[in-house]
Amino acid sequence: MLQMLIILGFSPLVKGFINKIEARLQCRRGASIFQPYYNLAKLLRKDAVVSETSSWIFRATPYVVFTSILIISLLVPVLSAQVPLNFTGDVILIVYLFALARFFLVLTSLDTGSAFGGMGGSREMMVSAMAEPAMMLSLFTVALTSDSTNLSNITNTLAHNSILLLNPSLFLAFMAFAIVLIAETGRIPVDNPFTHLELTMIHEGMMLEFSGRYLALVEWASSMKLLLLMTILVNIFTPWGIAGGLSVCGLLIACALYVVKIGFFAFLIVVVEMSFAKIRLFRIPNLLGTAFILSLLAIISLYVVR
Amino acid sequence: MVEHAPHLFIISIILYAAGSLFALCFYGWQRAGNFISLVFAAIASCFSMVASAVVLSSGATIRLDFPLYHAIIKYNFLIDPVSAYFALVISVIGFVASIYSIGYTRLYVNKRDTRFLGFTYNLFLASMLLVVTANNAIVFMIVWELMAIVSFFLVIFEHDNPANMKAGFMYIIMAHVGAAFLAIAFFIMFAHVGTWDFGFDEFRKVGGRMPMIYKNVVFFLVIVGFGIKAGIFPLHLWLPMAHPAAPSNVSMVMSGVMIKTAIYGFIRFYFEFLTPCPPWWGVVVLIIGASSAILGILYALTERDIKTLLAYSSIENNGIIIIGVGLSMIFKSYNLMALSSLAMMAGLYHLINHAVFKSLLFGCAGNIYYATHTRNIEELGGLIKRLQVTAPLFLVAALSISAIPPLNGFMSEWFLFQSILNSFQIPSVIIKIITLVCGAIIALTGALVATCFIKAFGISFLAMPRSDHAKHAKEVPAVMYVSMGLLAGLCVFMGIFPAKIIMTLNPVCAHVLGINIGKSLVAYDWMQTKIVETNFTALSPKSATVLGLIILAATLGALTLMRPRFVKKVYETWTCGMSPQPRLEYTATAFTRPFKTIFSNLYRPQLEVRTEYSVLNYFVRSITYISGVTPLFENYFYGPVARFVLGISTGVKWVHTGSIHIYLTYIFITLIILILFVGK
Amino acid sequence: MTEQIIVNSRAIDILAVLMLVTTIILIGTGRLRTCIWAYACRSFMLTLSSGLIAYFSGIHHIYITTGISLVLKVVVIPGFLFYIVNKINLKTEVESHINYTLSLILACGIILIAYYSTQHITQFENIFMRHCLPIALAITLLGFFVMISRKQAITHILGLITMEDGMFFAALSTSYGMPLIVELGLFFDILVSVIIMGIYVYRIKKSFDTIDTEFLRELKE
Repeated sequence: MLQMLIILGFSPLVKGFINKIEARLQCRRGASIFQPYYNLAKLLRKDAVVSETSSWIFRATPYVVFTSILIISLLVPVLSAQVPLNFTGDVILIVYLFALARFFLVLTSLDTGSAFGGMGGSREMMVSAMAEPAMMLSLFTVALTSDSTNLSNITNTLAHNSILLLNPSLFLAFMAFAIVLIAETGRIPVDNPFTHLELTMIHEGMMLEFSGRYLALVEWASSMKLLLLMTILVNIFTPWGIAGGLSVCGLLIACALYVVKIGFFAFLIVVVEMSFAKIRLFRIPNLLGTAFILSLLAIISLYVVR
Repeated sequence: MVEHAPHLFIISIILYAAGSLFALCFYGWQRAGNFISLVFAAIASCFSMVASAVVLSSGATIRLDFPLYHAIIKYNFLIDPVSAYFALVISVIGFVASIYSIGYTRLYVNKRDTRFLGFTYNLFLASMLLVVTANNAIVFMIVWELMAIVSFFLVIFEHDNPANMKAGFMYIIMAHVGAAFLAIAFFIMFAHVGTWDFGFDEFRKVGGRMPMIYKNVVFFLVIVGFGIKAGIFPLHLWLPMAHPAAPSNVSMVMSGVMIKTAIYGFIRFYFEFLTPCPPWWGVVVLIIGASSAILGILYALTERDIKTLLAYSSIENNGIIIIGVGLSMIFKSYNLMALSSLAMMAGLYHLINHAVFKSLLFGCAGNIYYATHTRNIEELGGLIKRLQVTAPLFLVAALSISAIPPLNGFMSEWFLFQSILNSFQIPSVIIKIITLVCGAIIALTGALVATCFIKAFGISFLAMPRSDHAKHAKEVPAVMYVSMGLLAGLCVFMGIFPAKIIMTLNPVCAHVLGINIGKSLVAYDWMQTKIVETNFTALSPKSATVLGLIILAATLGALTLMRPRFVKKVYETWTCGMSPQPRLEYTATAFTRPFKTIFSNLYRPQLEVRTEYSVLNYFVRSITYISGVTPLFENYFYGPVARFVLGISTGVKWVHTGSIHIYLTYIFITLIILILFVGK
Repeated sequence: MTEQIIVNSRAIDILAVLMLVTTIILIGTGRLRTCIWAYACRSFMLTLSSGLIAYFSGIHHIYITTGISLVLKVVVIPGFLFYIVNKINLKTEVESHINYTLSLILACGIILIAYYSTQHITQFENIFMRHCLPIALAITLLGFFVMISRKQAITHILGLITMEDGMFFAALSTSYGMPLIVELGLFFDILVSVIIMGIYVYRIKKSFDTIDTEFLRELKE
């Protein structure tokens, strides 16, 4: 329960943090860190404009997307390795819940009958189709290293046996997962989150027609997705300091360490964004193919050397 | 109850026969005749459903030996848990399809011969039931051929369309080739039995005695023979032609059930007749399944005809089931029985899931055809406002086939992933790597399936209608969508309550593999509901769904509290200043175009742009854009085979001279040779 | 104590994996300068790993090889290659005979072959530095593959020194380096061959205005 609120609450802050650092590195002052909060509050107060060609799917999607990502936030260990809903789901469920959110978003992009939506939707499906095998294989590597597919078990095992962490297979899996994270959350070099041109949009293109409350929910959901993927990355590959149980003291330490780790990875994302240019659309499968090969190598080296 | 099961089974077969005969009787009142024959089919399906459920729950084996003799043909039937499971699948889909057909065949009443449709349809369902219960090789071949011939007549039901005739022709040729391979396989096994007995019981004992070389030959013959029926690459050519050609209620049964009888054949042969099997057999089956899965969905992505898309998707799902069976074979050959059972459960779970959601999809496609008389996705659109009940049903089916939680497709993929993850226990490294690569291929196909069905649902149902057909569509009769609603309910049920399905599958795996892992797979959570767990983790879709609904309610509540007077203004879509027209929408071809570019080595896409000029060369009258995909398999595999066969036939043509004297000479020479050889 | 050994060997394993990753980047990239940077990174990792091996095992002559390798492979050779690239204004695109996806799949296959063929050997060892031998073999084979599939002469050079890197790492990880004299000879050999090839490339470009080695076929007549 607590971690759902944390994810809910912190995600706009993380996005604001990323924007601010990026602006600073571009020698601008940038908007304040809390700007996404102001955006969300403003959008929640507004009415929505709905296209006349769209149907009930358009109105239902923001709720479905928001709910599915919130369920994921209940399954991912954030501060404590012991998630109360341990039995409910594992890594495969998480991956497919992301797929549920994506399914409905792409459906809505086709719903309004504009060409930009369809283009954004088809490109998003292309990127996610290419990214899915890499993500699955790198998560399988981690699962095989710690003998479970349940995220809280994985985190527990890896936190207590740090020796397992130095496995080179995990390192390869980490790199593959980092590339997939960039692809799934739509950062440069895969997709430009700041673009205004519909012809270059992938993720933004699907959200083009939303307004008011719907846009608030979908934007919040996408920033939560970023934070959740980063949390998975952090807690699987660098799980030191995560609380074993539910003691207050452990939770506070875990909270502080979590903030530091997420901040560090956010900074890394910004550095990557600043250093590379957005790659051409049909080079994205090349990049994701490299991620796939890295994850395949990870799992093969785990098997062969075991 | 168990003693009544054989009676129930016999009653259902009799009812099918009665239904088919009744259909022929009514000459004048076609609607009534149609209705009665389909009602008979539905009732017969109910009976066989009950019979198979009884056998499954008790785990018993029932023999039906009719004391009829026709020379060496003994009519033996056996209902063991495997047959009962397949019979259950056949009956459930048969029941729903029969109810659906009552509405769908109104399209054909007074235009075509619906008596024949009723006759062949009943025979089709009956023959499938007999195929999975036959216990004798000759009876099996008879019923198998009967099934093929009857479905051929169903495929060419709309015989004025030349494409349908070609499809039927291709189908019957390939079915016969497959049956020939099967016959050779049966004969080889018979040769090792010793006595004049074609019974399957004898075959089961033979497996241990046969020398390895013969077992390998039978292995390949069975793969080709049953593979043609299952539609694996590269033997799939008939499937995307035959399934769209048949009427939708028949396609439902063909795609949902008939291609699964091939899986039944695989299980019978590889797990009962040819035990023990070497590991490389399982690897071959695994690779065949994986390649069918990925190639099936890749070809489905570029299709514009909705039923051809669904047919290719059936190839893909069958590939996934075969992956499960192959994994099970690999585990079994290393004596990891519990894992073998898990993999087989995953495959069989996917089998029933696919039967349910594919029938639902074909039914909705039939609804679309009934309402708009077109199958081309590019001409549809905006149907969600016109076919208001069919749309959510199609959405449920599209969600299930893309393995989205909490529906049933997700559960079977989850089980498959769990069994793939457990492959680290296999001793051989190469097989482990191949298994993992197949796991990655399954992940890739999952995402591609989602794309394909977003395209199918999105372009057909959403946005604005792209043609007049779609604009004037009206909702279909209630019978059709009520039956589809039953299937959609099943989808949701099987997704949220996987424990019940696992307990149903347990006796099947227990019978085939001799190990009972049901207890270790089902556990209880804090809500005292059953969940599934493996050695890796536990999964409870029910609590996930409950949580989801709670969160949804909380969100809606919070938002309503914040701003109770939430207003939605309706306005037209922004299309850069022009008024929105259907031509500005995205098309199906464009939606999957990125995949055509990525996989262009496979597709070899062809593009043609023709421009027509009027008067002078500066005024364009029309531009035509034609894009197509090279049919690789047709050109490089079937083409040479067909040319080879035709070449041989042309070469041998000289034998038929037409002259009576030459024919008499042939007979005379044959007679002399026989006398010489027999005399020895 | 055993834990210390495990941590050490894991550290070297991670460096080995990083070397493999940079080699994959070398195969997978489309820009020439990125290839040379990838090579420089790999040499740096190689130097680090040889330094770590020297530190852990206490054999002193490996320090000398580390030093020479640092100077030569990390600074001199990449610098020289950048100088050549800038001086003759080469095209920044890497041209290859086979397309990207296929070369990536083949690279993956090569790495699989390397892992598979060395698994019999590594099974008999204890956990110490298990990944090193397969990765060394993989890097050698990948270098050969780069030489086969690329058209430009600069990439031929890179392929050759990749092969040498792979063999050096194999010797280093399994038998703590070859005798010092052999190592020094190898280094000198590499340095001279790179310099010669650099001058050669310069001359070819001046004469033919291209360094596509396909055109060298015309010399046959």
